[in-house]
Amino acid sequence: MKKDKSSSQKKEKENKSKARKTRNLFNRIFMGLLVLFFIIGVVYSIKSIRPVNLLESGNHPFKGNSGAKVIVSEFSDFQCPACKGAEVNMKKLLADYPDKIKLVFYHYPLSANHPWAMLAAEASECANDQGQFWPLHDLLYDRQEIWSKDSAPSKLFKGYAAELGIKAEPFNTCLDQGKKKSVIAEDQGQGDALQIQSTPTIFINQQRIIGGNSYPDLKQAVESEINLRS
Amino acid sequence: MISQNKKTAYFSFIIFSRLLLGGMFMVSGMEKLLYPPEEFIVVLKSYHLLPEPLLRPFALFFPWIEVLFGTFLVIGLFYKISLLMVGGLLLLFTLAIGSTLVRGIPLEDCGCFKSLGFKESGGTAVFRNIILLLFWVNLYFYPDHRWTVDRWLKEKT
Repeated sequence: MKKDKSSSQKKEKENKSKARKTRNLFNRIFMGLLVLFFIIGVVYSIKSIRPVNLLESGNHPFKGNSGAKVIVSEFSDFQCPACKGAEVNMKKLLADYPDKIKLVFYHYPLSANHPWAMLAAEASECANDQGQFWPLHDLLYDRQEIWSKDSAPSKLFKGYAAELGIKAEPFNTCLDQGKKKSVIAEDQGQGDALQIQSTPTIFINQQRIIGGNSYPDLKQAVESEINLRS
Repeated sequence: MISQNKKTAYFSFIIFSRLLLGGMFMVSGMEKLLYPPEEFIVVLKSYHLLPEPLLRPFALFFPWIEVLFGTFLVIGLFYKISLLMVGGLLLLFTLAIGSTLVRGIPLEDCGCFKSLGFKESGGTAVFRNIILLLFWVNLYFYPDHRWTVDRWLKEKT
């Protein structure tokens, strides 16, 4: 009788301990889920503040078909060697899809690493006033290694402009007075909102491609956007 | 008295280790979550370890594991599991970065804290991880469950 009582007490104790362990486990799982939901909430509330629409390219310099449904937005830096490398692929894309894409250029000079990138961007925008953005754009990339090493390249930029037949007086005034700083800052603001970390960063409609050095990747993204919209 | 001071100092060290290890994973995972996954994919690609189709799923899923177990370690929830996970991840990262170095793949940036503006070379990252592993070994072999949610919940039930 006594043995029975002690064994049932033991069993009861075991059951209580088991129940306590189960309750504890549930509490921990519940707490874990709370933490998980809190993290999800924080991540999504921060990520949702990104109102940038690259499909409306405004007055940015562009090449290709202005009415194309596939917009290739390139955030680039004239002093960045990788951007120079990506230019070959951009030209190839335009040659392969002349009517199907619109290539839009956005400035994203990484001044911390490239001291003359901002000035080069300004020069290109000054040339844009005379409809000469793309010729100077090409020349700046072609001669990147020359002007990048110069201690004051604005003289070189003025020389390039003259070489392209750009009227010297308005171009020089524009460059010397830094008239295009706000245009560049606006592009940079858009790039920041898009959380650009490195250049070049290319958006094919909304698809982000970093680096742009793989032509198959770019081509595949363009093809998929064309198929999606046809 | 001295012994009490020693105990307090050791406990402070345990808390510091938990904050350091867990906090690092929280920050590293969070910055990957807050930035576009393509940024992490580029880093993963440079490691030449994962096949192409796995890059995106890994880049999307992995940071959540980092943040979650980092947070769990800091607050002391599922303490043992979190500690094992964090140690496992640390070892995994060290081996991944180490293998790129051994294979002679130039790793300009390990991508560990890329968007925070830090550029850390592969060698530095391996060195940093080895130091962190020492902290982890101490936490694992000399466990102290004070100031953990696990203990708090245990006392409540």
